[in-house]
Amino acid sequence: MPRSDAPATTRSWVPLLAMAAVASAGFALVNAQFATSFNLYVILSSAALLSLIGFSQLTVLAVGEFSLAVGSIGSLVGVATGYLLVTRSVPLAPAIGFGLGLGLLCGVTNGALVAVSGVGGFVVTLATGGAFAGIALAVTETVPYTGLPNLLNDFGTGRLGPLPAVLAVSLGVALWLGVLYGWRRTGRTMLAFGGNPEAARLSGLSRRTTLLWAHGLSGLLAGAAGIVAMAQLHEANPNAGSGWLLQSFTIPIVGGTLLTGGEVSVVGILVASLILATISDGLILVNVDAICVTLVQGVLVFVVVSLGRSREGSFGRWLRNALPFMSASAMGSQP
Amino acid sequence: MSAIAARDIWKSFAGTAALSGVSLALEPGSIHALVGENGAGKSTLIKTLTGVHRADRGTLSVGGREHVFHGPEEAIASGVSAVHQERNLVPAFSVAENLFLHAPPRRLGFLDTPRLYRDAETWLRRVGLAVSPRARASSLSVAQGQLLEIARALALQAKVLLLDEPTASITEREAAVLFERLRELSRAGRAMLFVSHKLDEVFALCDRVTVIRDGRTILEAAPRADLTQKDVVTAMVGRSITFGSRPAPSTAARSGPPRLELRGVSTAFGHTDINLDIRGGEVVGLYGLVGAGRTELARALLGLERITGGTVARDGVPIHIRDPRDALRQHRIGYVSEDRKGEGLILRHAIRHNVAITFWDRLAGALGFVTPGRERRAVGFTVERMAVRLASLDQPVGELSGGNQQKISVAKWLASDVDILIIDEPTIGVDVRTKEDMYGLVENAKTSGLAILVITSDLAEVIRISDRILVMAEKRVVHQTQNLGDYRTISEEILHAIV
Repeated sequence: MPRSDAPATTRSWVPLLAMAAVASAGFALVNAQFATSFNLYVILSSAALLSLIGFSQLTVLAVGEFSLAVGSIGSLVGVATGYLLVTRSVPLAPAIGFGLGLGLLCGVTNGALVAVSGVGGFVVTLATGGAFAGIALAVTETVPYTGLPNLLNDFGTGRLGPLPAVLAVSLGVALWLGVLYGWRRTGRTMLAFGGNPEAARLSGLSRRTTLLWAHGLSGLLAGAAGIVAMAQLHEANPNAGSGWLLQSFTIPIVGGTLLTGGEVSVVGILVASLILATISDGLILVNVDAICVTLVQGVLVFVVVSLGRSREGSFGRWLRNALPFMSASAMGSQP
Repeated sequence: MSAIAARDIWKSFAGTAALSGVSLALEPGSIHALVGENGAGKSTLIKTLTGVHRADRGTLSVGGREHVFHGPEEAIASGVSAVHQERNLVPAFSVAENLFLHAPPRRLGFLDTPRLYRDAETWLRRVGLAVSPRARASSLSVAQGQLLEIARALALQAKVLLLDEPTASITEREAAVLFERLRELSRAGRAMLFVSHKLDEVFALCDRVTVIRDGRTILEAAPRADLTQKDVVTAMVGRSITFGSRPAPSTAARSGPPRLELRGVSTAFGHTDINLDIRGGEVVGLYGLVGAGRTELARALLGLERITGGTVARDGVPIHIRDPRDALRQHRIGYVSEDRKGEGLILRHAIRHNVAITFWDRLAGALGFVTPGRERRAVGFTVERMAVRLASLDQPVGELSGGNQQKISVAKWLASDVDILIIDEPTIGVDVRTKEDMYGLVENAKTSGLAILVITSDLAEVIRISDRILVMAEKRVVHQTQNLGDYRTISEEILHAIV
């Protein structure tokens, strides 16, 4: 089959961005609260957390792996950090350092298990994810730690005009990952493994190192998400990450990262998080039932994936024809 | 002193011996051919030489010093590189980055992109590959990908270059270019191993020939000048085989509408004004260079891409094929993909499973169960007739050698009782004997009344099996001829049509 030179997937969020803009205009008309500085802050702070969750999955998707442990590592790191801060009165910096280290350790454990056992990341993280979540619940006896240091709480909900402080974490990570996948050998190696594992192996690149990196990064970022969530909630809740699993896939998919590995879009994660946060926020403001918000997210994923696959799928083809204004930007090139 | 020498190499997988005492030595400045049937152990030997597999017994020396490679990276470090049978490029990466996948140039820990592209130019020029270093690897043709992999091996400072069937899926013209490069590299002192099923190529390019059969060396480093093609074939198969010649004359009925007819067909792939007809009991060969649009035409026929104009008729009745399922169920058209691993077979599934997949609904019993027994009974005959070398029908297809896998992917359609069969590159990567088996198979199918379209880039093949030959170039049928079987005149006629 003839293939276009441009990656069709990496720009699949462009039409969505247009759609989100249209929707935002709609929300703004219906509800005067939508277009306020405070609401922008709300959207951005939930997008910041979403993007970290997305990044955590992105690092494993890059090598063609999955992680089902993103949420449970997030919960565990949050709880462990909360325990140190509240029960042990450990100062903030070492507590956070320990938390991130724990996330990294969880991820590296996953990576090592995958590398040594030959069992795929999906299965390994299904197992370890359950274990991590269990530990988090056991440690807290399901009661969240409250009374976190003010500095942390201020960071979690503090803002500069419409910009939440936590956005800095999200942008910092994005910058780091952008450089990693674009210009660093480690990142390129991960993408090479995702794109063609056999080629990478025969070129003498190490599968083991790559897996450790990918899962390790994923754990570290899941931990960062856990700490941000804790700061935003002003408590360390063992259930904080329980809803992250699906989101962690939704965001990269909407953002144009391939599930099969080898191609990632860091900017796509930021855009997708923003879109998802905007839409949930808007729907809630115009009093749509919370259940419908999830439904809308589901429909979105389907639409995006169909657009990306419009060559093969009849739905995507129909959609592309029905929405001609989308096709040029969505597909990059026509057959 | 040999650039690389393997002595008495043994290797077995799960109790099955792949190599039982093979020896091979490559000299600098020489192109050495490694020939053997499918499953003889050629790929295993190459993978052993490059550290992908570790030999159970035997020694390996590079430049006179004994080595044990624990992985490809150690072989690469010793100057031994392979271009493997499967394409090993990262599709989403640029040409330049694929070239330096092992060690991209870096500055201060970051990829040095300007230098990456600059350095790539040098190596691309060295192998005569005229593409931009910035192009994505997925945009390259098979032949260009091949050259890129050779360039990569050179960039690895390889002194020993192992080429596993580099010409399996490129055209003769592209192969000629490749050979010119290989000769230059050989003159520059590199030791090369060239694996091919095409004896013409072996004799045109190589100066020494090693033949292995069933994991043993039959002929070791024999000078080419002392050999005839017949000697090599005899060594390969252990007996003399006769090359089949012309096909039996077509039994196709001349009257009535053709089984499948295309009139003025154009497609979304860019084909224009395609006219083609196949009758029952006839083999039509569709010849063309890689990229001429032959596979794409077959895919459009199966409904995988839109047909934008003209008519497709089956037995004179215009039809519209929605998808491959429709093609099979409603119109009884089967398609054997050229990419057997990617599209033809489910490698982890049993042979019986793979063959029966196209007619499961017919096999299903009263309650809709497809039992292994039913499958075995239904496919046993076809598989047996094709002389597939197998342990049992329950064996995963992936355990068979390449040629036998190819047979299975054809068997699947023959067993499903189609009327029209499109076979895309039936003998890619297949040895001489399997090739003849395959031709016999096509001929049997033809005699039983099937209408067959064979897509091929092998000139000898198209002349060997077709009743009529269509030549495609740039998504048009540029020539059509009755095959009278005279290789010289027909091949000239065809090449003329393309140029």
